[in-house]
Amino acid sequence: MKTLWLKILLLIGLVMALCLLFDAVYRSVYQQAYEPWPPLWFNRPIDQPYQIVKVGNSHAQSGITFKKYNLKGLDLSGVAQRFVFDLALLKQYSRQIDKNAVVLIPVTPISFSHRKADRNDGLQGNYYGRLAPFLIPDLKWDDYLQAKIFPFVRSGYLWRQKYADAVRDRIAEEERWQEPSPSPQAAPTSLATQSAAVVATHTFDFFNVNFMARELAHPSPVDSYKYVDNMNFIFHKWYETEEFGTQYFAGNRQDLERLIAYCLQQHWRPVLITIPVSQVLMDGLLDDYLPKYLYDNLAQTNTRGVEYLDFSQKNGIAQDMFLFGNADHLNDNGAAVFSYYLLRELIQRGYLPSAVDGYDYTPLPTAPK
Amino acid sequence: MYALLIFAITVVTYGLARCMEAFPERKKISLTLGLIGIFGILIFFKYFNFLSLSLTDIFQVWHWPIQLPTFHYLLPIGISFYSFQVGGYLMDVFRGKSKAEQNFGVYALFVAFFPIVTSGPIERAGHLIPQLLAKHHFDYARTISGLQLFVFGLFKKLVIADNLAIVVDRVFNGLPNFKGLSLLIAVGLFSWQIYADFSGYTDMARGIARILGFDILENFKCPYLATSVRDFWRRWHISLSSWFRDYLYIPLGGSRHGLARACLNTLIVFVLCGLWHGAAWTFAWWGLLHGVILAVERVATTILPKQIPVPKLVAILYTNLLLGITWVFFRSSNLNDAIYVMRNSVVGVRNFISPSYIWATISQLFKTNVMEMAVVGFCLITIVSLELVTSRYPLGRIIRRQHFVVRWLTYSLVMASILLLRQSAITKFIYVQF
Repeated sequence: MKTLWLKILLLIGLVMALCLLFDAVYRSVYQQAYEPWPPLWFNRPIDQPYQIVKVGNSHAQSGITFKKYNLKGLDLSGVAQRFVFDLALLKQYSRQIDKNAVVLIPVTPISFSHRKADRNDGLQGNYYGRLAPFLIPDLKWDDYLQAKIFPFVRSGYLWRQKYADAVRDRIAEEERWQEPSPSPQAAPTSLATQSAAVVATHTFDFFNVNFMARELAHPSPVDSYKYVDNMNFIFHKWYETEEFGTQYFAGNRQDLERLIAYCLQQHWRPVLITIPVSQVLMDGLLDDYLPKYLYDNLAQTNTRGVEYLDFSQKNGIAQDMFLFGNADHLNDNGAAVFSYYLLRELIQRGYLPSAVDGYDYTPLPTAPK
Repeated sequence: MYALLIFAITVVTYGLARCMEAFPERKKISLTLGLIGIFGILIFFKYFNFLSLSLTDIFQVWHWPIQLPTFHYLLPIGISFYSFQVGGYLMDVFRGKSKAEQNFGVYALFVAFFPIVTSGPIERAGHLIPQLLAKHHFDYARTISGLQLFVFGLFKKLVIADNLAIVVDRVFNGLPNFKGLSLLIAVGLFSWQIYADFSGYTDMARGIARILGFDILENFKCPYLATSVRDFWRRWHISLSSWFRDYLYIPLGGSRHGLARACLNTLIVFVLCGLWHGAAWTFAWWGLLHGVILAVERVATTILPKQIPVPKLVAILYTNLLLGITWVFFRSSNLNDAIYVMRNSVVGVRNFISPSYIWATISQLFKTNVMEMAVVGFCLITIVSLELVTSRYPLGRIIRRQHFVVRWLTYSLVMASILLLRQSAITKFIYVQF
């Protein structure tokens, strides 16, 4: 028996050596760097812990920026991130977050109606390098081991994939060259060219508070179908796929309760916030968008008295299309504006001292008459 | 839920077999009850929707507005295999070929022996139960042999079958884009894909069982080297074909009642064999075609005064050509697809020898991806070579005779190629769906 195991181990060693050799050739051909080893335990404590943290999905990712907060901020948000992953990420970074830190937990209708992430969820791979494996909910171990621990066993497949992509691109390129080029007169006016004029007029610094006020006083009109198309896409995704639905409400509420409980247990200060989405989306979705999908859920969640700041209809952000990347996501401009109002609210309610406000209050030059 | 189903089948058939021995005068009733129960469950889960939809279609032809119900549930995994195994056991006990197993644990293990429960081979009580009752000790040589079988089975599945599937799936999932030689190549590749897939599974199952000390029935004996379709069925899915022979063909009368009756029996058996694979008309046609070919072969061998000498290579090619035609029905999603393939396979047949046409066909099949061509070519050469080599000696024996350096190099390369030539996602075994 001992000899058998010895031989098996020796054989596995030989096979691994062959795979490593193959992997080295693949990496040198495609100049692929070796990825760093993933975390296997909680992150180590740091000298200057984070004082403000944001979790949440892409709404938080694109909608909140700590650039002008005079604090050490940590961004733990991610695309389509559910509460369970928010919690896992907070656990991963728990030793690097200050005891009194403010944890911003965005709550949106999407947060409550999103299908529970399972092991076949394609997004799980996004957390392989960020979370220790024992913290990843419902981890797909075989995929994790191949992606992070023994990446060289995948080089054969990756090489073939890269080669196939290169062949496909080459063919597409050849076909493109063979197509007759369109005459200049026939070129249609794209939505991008239509909106280019609008973009050109807005080249100001959005971290200037006075500029923000002026922008919000004169919001950019809805002049592009881009937002409507995007609204239709979201509508379809929400109401006509299995990805979202009221059947997931209860599970997500429970996950949020766990998240809040964990924050309080760590002596952090969680704050629930709702980030604005565009008025186009609000008009296009059904009337129960906010009441049923958000407020009812919040009312049924044991939030343990945690503060809730609702910005969905505040400050006129939703009406200014120039602040949105698409119908439901703020862009960089929108993030700067929204983060300012969020900061003011946090200062006003005593979560942060006024000294952390790093926004620019320089008066705007008056326009020549 | 489905675990309860297999448990219930085990309990009931265990009891019925014991009843047959305890009350010989009632053994016919026990057998009938048992078979109705087992095959009733099988028919319900596997064929209810098929029968319901087929009858609804027939009613619509006659303008009868009757809509029969359908159910949406998952097919219990391995039900076709363990139902047949249990059915065979009851018939063996009825005929006195096997004794009813007294130990419930041993019998339950016979029904749900994990290497074979999902896709066979369909074991016989007389073969497996004595092994389950025997004591087993660690045996170095047997373990090595089992590991070899398992690894080569894995290689067949992950490297050969899954890579051949790239081209086969591309063609059969986009049939209107393909005509002529490309269809023929796809059908040819499919015949090797399904062989590598299923024999790979069987090798893995036999390998695991061998490591544990059990010898499982052999399911394949170089089927594509068969010199007739009749010969093919002595080499392909042997545990199923022998089951049909012993428990259906012979009870129907076999060849004891003249040529016409033998041909009819063959047709019945093979249509049912086709339907065993899946509840679809394509499988029924696949079985029927096999039945017809076998009947024709039987008639030919009976009426011809003496055998016409045919070179072995020609006989093998003839058999593979016929098998290729039948595989079209097996692989197609529906009868329309199968008819499309049959109609369009010979389109442009005069160009089949033109190098530029051949190259254009291969380029289309592989999307000009030379690396894919090389991998699929390697897989095809390997499986054909394995077939030729193992037709003379078992693979294990060939490996054992090599110098240890060659042996270890072979093991290492096979295992490394499993890791490096596999697809990103592992596809399930074809026969698991049956």
